[in-house]
Amino acid sequence: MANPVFTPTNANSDAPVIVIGAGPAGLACAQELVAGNRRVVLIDDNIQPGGQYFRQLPPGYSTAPRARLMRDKARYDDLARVLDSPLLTHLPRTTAWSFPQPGTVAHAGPLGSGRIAGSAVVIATGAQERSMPFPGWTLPGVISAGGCLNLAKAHGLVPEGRVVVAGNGPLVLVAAATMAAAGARVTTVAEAQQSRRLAGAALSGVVAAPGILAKAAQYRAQILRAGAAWKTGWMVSRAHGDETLREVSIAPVGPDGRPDLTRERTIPADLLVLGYGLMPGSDAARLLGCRMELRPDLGGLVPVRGPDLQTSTAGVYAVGDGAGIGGVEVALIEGRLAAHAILGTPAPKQLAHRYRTLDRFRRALNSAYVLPTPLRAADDDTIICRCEELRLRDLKADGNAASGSLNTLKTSSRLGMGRCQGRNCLHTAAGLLGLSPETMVETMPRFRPPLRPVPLARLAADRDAGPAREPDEIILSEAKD
Amino acid sequence: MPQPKMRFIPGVVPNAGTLSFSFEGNEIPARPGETVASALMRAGVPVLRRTRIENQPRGYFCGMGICWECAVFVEGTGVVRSCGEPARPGMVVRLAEAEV
Ligand SMILES: Cc1cc2nc3c(=O)[nH]c(=O)nc-3n(C[C@H](O)[C@H](O)[C@H](O)COP(=O)(O)OP(=O)(O)OC[C@H]3O[C@@H](n4cnc5c(N)ncnc54)[C@H](O)[C@@H]3O)c2cc1C
Repeated sequence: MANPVFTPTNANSDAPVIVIGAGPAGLACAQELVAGNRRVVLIDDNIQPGGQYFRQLPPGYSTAPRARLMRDKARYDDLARVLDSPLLTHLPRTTAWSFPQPGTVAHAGPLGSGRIAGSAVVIATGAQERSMPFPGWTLPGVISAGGCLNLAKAHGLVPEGRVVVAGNGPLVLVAAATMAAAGARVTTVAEAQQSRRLAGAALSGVVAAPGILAKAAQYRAQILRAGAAWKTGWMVSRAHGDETLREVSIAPVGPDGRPDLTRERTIPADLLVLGYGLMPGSDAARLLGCRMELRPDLGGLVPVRGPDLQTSTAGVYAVGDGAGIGGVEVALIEGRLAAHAILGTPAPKQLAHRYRTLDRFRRALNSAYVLPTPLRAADDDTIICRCEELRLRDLKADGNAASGSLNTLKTSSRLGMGRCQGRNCLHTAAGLLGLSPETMVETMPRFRPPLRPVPLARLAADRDAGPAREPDEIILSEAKD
Repeated sequence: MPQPKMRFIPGVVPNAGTLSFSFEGNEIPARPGETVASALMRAGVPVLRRTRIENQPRGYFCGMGICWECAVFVEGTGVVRSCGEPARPGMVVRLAEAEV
């Protein structure tokens, strides 16, 4: 069956531009497209728009001026005005789950399911967190940094007990500061990278992104004011508790990336927040057959893009954290730049200039956080695949453990077959079994629709669902610097 | 030992009024618009599901729809992510077990 040719966009097209993801990147893109008089369909799987950075409280909640939520409300309100435009259709609580043809997006949600043909597709699907399994990491009370930020931003909650924050990357700072500001008792913050490795990136940022650095300094001050110990070069070695978390052990990172247990310390904790880095969510791009590349300076596997942020699939653009980790400022600018490319209007010079500067800075920052040796705190008894309850021992004992292929291992062990669709476990299992990042990517099971779990009843609502396009493998292109 | 509870951040004003739903037979109060996970964590309930094979406790983890660790079973609806599911009055919720 031949796919109809999906023609690159032109300014006169009647079909809407389909933007997947209503985070900073998607909202900024939609705003610019609407300003250029283009129709937009904005699909997002959350109840409210905003994505991660602009995550909103439940509808109807309000905040007194003293509420310290650190959520940049004014900028969000300005962006969110685009939702009132008659040119924009917002589909909340809706998952873009397949691309039956390039340019056509199948979507499903409680408000309805169907498919939309667009004149262009913008992937603005954001990032996901990296896992770093260790004994006890599945206990209730151990949560991710994003989960912690969403406690505050999406639920308006703060924990009553003692909070320990640990990880590798800027989100450690953000999560700790957000908790401290909200009134939590943050006792210890542990960043795995050595401070001297972070210093260089900070220096380059003085010129490139003074605003971002000022914010980071503010976060540090917030954490120290709260009386928390700030440690660099330390990692979590294990978590203790029966039904819920009770204590956390931390230890210096050894030269082999393992915790140095001779100097391990155990501290009481009611909540442990883990932020071991972000990686671009590459699923949509992969399903669309976009050429991908491994870029440590962008946080992992990303779609190859031209200067107009178009992927190798004509008419498909990728912006924001899903196309390379860069944070909110990069996401906002990329959204606007892609909109200009789709509209065929030149981007304002200032915007392009600011982008070049920020892009350099984020790549320096991402590289500065890359550890000399990947962290490794899992022992044989540690659960690696949360959904299928597979321990490292089970994976090592599997007949296909030495096959050198994640996909082969998946079929025999059930690794990655649960509801998270491998998002939490495949990347860590690969590292723990000694696969190189390249081999991991080359042997990763392919993504099949639905991109995210969708109840069958909702899929059935899409009556002519038919077979979806499934690229046979990840198309890797030569990495270049 | 009492479970670590969550509370509203000082200055966050939830919607007025309360509703309630049941979780494992216990009545849990919630504010209109609040998610099931939020109401449960405020009530001091950290365990939201038990694993199929080893019956291990799991709770809120990623907060963004990736991990499904906060899955609960809602009668009449099925398995949902409690962190993204608004609480409705009279909802009958229990630990997700074999379903996940
Ligand atoms: C959990 C988490 C929390 C974070 N919190 C902060 C923070 O508090 N402060 C900060 O500075 N940075 C934070 N970050 C970093 C953050 O990624 C960026 O700052 C910024 O939000 C990136 O914007 P974006 O638009 O690229 O992606 P996002 O903001 O992640 O938005 C992407 C949106 O697309 C939706 N989506 C993805 N796939 C689909 C699909 N198939 N169908 C429908 N919708 C889909 C997602 O649910 C999300 O709403 C966080 C990152 C993560 C992963």
